[in-house]
Amino acid sequence: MTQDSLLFRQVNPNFVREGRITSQVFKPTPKDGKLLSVYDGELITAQNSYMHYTVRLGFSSLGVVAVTPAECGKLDLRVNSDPIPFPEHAVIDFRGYSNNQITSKAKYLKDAAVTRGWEYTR
Amino acid sequence: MITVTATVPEELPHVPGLSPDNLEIIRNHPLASFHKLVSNLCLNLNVSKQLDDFRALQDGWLEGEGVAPPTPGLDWLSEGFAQHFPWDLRPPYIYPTVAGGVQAEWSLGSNEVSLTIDLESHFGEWHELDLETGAVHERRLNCDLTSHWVWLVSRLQSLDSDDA
Repeated sequence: MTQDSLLFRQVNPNFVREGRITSQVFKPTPKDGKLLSVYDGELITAQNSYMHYTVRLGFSSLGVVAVTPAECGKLDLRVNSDPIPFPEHAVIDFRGYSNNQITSKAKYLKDAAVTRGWEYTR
Repeated sequence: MITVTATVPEELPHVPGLSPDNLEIIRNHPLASFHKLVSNLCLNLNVSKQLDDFRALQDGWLEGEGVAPPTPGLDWLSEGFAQHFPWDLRPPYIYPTVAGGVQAEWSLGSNEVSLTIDLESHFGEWHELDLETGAVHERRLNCDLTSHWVWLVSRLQSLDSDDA
């Protein structure tokens, strides 16, 4: 993984409103333990990440957006490979930040992803 | 028989979910002043419709997490917007939250604004971030209080005018 690698994030259909995604896409949920799951774009394509997420894992996604480790680094967020669940799995580490700080960082990441555009939509 | 004459603007504010058919009904309505009718119907069609979309959600909607928003809470919030949110203010995009609440969001210039509302307690967490400067404004709102709605509307109007 390089600083410019794409980190794919799946977008739940309820997190899209008239094409606009919510910053919650980049906010870890309670079960995440402040580690936001992404797919390492060096190891899997956006389309294949969508297929893995929806078919193998059985979750719902409208499409795939992406940020980079460099964009995470600007927000003092570390990105780590975490191949335990599956080989292409990585995490953006929000540990050590308050809920409001995480909200701000999620908004920055959403802005970067929106600027980049959809990597894949069904 | 009462006839009301009103001038229809060339371009109405962008209202997601407002179809040309609905607009035609509003334009032709004979019983109320045009602007008042537009203000209420535009808002109801927008915010109410967005909230209605969440009524079909079931627990587990987000990767097995995700609490379904409670119906009484959705009713309450829909009424709150209808009562307190002015027609000429940019409407929010509304999304469910994993905790069973909703999050209203506005993108106003460089400002990303969110109001995360707990549909049980009726409290909301206001979070406003200027993406250019990094300035953050946070406030806890009691959405049962008119004074807090007044603050919310005033704040949005200020940000919206900066964006104009």
